Amino acid sequence: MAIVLEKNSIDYISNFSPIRCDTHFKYNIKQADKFFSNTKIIWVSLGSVLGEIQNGMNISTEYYSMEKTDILYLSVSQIKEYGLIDKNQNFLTEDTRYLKNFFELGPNMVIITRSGTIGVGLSTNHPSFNFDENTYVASGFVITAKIKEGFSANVIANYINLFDVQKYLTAMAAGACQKNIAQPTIQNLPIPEVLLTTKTSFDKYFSEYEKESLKIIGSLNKLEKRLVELKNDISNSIKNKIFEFYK
Amino acid sequence: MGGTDDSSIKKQLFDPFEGIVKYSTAKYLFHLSVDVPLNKEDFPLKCIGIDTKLADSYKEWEKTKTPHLVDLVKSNEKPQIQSVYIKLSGKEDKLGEKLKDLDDNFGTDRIKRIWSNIWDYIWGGTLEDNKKFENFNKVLLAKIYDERKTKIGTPYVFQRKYKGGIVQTDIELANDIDLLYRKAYREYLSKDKSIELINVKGIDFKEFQTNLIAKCVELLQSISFHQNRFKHLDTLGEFYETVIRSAFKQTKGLFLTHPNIVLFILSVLDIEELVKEKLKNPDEDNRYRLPFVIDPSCGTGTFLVLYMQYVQKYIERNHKKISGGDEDISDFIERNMLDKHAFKWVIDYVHGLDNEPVLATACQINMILHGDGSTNIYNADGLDDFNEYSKMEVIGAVNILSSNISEPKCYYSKKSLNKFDIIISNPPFSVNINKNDLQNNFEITGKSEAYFLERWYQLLKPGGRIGVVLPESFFSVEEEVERRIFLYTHFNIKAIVSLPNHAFQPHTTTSTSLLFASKKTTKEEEVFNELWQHFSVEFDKKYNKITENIPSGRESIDFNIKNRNDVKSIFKILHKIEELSNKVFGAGFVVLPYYEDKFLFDEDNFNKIKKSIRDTIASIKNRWILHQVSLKPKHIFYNFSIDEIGYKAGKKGSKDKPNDLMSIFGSDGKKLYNIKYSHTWDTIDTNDKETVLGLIKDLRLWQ
Repeated sequence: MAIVLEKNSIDYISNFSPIRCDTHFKYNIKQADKFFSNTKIIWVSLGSVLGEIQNGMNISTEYYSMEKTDILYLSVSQIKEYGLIDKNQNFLTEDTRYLKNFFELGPNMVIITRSGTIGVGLSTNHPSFNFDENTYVASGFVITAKIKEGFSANVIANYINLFDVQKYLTAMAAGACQKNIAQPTIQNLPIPEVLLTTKTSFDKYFSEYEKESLKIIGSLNKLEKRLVELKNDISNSIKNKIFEFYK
Repeated sequence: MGGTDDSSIKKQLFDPFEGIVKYSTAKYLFHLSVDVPLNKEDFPLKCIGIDTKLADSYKEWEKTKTPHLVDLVKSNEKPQIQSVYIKLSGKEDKLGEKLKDLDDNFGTDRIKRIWSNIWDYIWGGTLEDNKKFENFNKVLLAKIYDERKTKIGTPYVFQRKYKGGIVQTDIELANDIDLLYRKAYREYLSKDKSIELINVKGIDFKEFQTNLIAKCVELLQSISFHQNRFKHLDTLGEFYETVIRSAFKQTKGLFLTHPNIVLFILSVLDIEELVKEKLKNPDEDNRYRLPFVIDPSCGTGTFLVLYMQYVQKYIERNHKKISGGDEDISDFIERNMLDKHAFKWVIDYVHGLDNEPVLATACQINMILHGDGSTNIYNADGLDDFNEYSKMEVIGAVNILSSNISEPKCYYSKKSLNKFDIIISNPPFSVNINKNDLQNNFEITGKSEAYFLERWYQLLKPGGRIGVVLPESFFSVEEEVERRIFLYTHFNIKAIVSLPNHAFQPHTTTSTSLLFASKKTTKEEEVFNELWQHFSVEFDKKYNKITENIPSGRESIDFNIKNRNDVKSIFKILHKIEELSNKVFGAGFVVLPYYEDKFLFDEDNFNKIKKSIRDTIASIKNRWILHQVSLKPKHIFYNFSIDEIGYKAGKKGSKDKPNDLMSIFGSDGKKLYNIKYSHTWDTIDTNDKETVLGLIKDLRLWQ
């Protein structure tokens, strides 16, 4: 049994744009308010550097392919802070390309999960994207935004993944049944001006993180491979024991 | 023709039998009477037969006044004695073996079996149907009326009877039940007690065929709802809860609130303290001594039924302590709240409205079943103009809903009633309502729940309390921000309890929260309004102070990117605006757009930039004013969120779960989780800090 209890006040909630008084908001925003109420930071809205912003596509299962194709349908579960993962991947048929509202992801975009696991940002410049070989289509539970020329999708995605920003976005999630974030929330997201003006240094900083994270993912993949081998070894060994017993 | 009474039995049967020789050898005496027929085919004949071997004089018969058979005898034949249910006094010793009273010794299992049979027969294989629900209600009310009104020694009407040894047909039986219902309607539900039975809208045999009525009678005729010896169960209340929850189709934003949630709301509202306070400090004319309560969207009446039982239970246990020797108080309690006067107070203090006729009727029945025989439940729109309520025929002394309507005030532009101390409700969510009709009476526009928020405000006395269910989106989504400002302006929020999204399953997964708040006092409203006006002027000054730093024309601005640090540079001007905004409104209040150099230093974009800055600053106006006003004084409230509420319902039934809301115990001291029915709970632990109720009581919300 878990009871959440939060002390709240009208003057506190009126610090934030939708003046929300629900428990979900108070519980999550308090974990980010120190960062966002820092008076020394010059804040601007993220929308200023976003080009076209839209939700991903809701594609009917009739367009799902049973075989591997080069059109990957990215659901929320494949989008992680450190790159795309290819577990439980869905592939789409070529017919998908003829859908009226079809649109594919391109470089220098940022994708943000809006429902399910809320507020995970990923830059399409991340090495886990391979635009030479694949077409990527985002699911409807994802917000996609083209980043204006001169700005880095990588910096913005990494900013979104900061703990405080994720808490902020989680707090901003709302909905009658399932909570989700809407495009205006992303457009109005405050971002320190310094991230936009001196983007190069942050780009470098985030690149280092990316390099390290890729190393870890590589190690994890190796370990996972070893785990599968171990499972095979033990299976064979037990099987042999059984055969020996009934010899 | 006409009814049977004791004098007609004496004069028409026993006087000739005892006094006239030629009748003195009669083996059986029969008294026939006919009730008012409602149509040509209907002939509601009643027969009382007396076996002179068992009662050979009126004096002998008078001891029990019980007929020995209730069927017609065919000429020159011995009557065929059929089984019949008859109201007995319990003192009878000479009775026909086939005469018996209703079974009053059964438990919940039997109730469940009966309901299951009825459900299969009437609703089985179909979706819920509110027409069936409405007509089934009528059959049920006929049963209640019959049990209550049948005199001792008289057969119940609510049973399949015999005429000349031949069993009643379905149509004959249905006509009897229809007549019973009409009488019940006139007695319990109609405000016009002189209404002719023919003018009462009876059971609709097209919507609810006679074979269905007959089946209901067959299944219900043998059991007593009124009397039950088994575990002191409120049998009918329990049965009706089941009927409502399974047979009423819950759609269009109308979802029934689980008793666990209602009981929690009542406990948080500190009803006990309010009752005690009112008893000790009545209104000026010393007339009203209990809180006035209303649910303006009462549905089937779960809130009101539990409220009246909650208060009744509290008074019965604490009346001596409350009166403390004060005779005025104890006199009021005795005359309105104790023993045979239990629930008498409800007529003056408990009110309900519902726009759906079937729900209003269900609520009335529900109230009757739980002890209130003369309810203030009306089939009326809870959002109507108050003057419309003057057309309602009320049962209480005063039509509280249309008297002394208060005119608009400086802080509120619409009319108010200011009469009720408590509002408990779960309004319809997101229901479309005709907005044109509401413009004159409401400041708010929006979804149905928003209108109800304002109506609660209008109904409440200053300082009055609400304990209500609202969709969580009301508290969170951007579109509801204006409605929330109304809440912050006119109410003091005390607590918001976010419920898990299975609270209203299987009917809807909509997330809901409970809102506890009190209407601001007149003084608080005046102060708030005054401060709002003050800061509104302040805002305009600040807005002007900032925007006047944006040159009106582009001539005086330097758009050369190379001169970005020059005083006249557009870059420097915007930087100054940014600094000023943070200084004037406080950091973070204004988040201005970011302009990339290419856009910023293009003088053709100047007007766009100017407009976007002005719009951004103007958009924070209400929020900034609210922020300033709410600092004087600072208003604290509490947010709660929980996972478990004592039950989890699915399409196949409900499972008991832990209850984070409160700890409730039965009369055997065992902890209860799923409070389905009001009579099963005994005490509530208000000190359990493992529950929200325990934590809230510790916070002393209402002080």
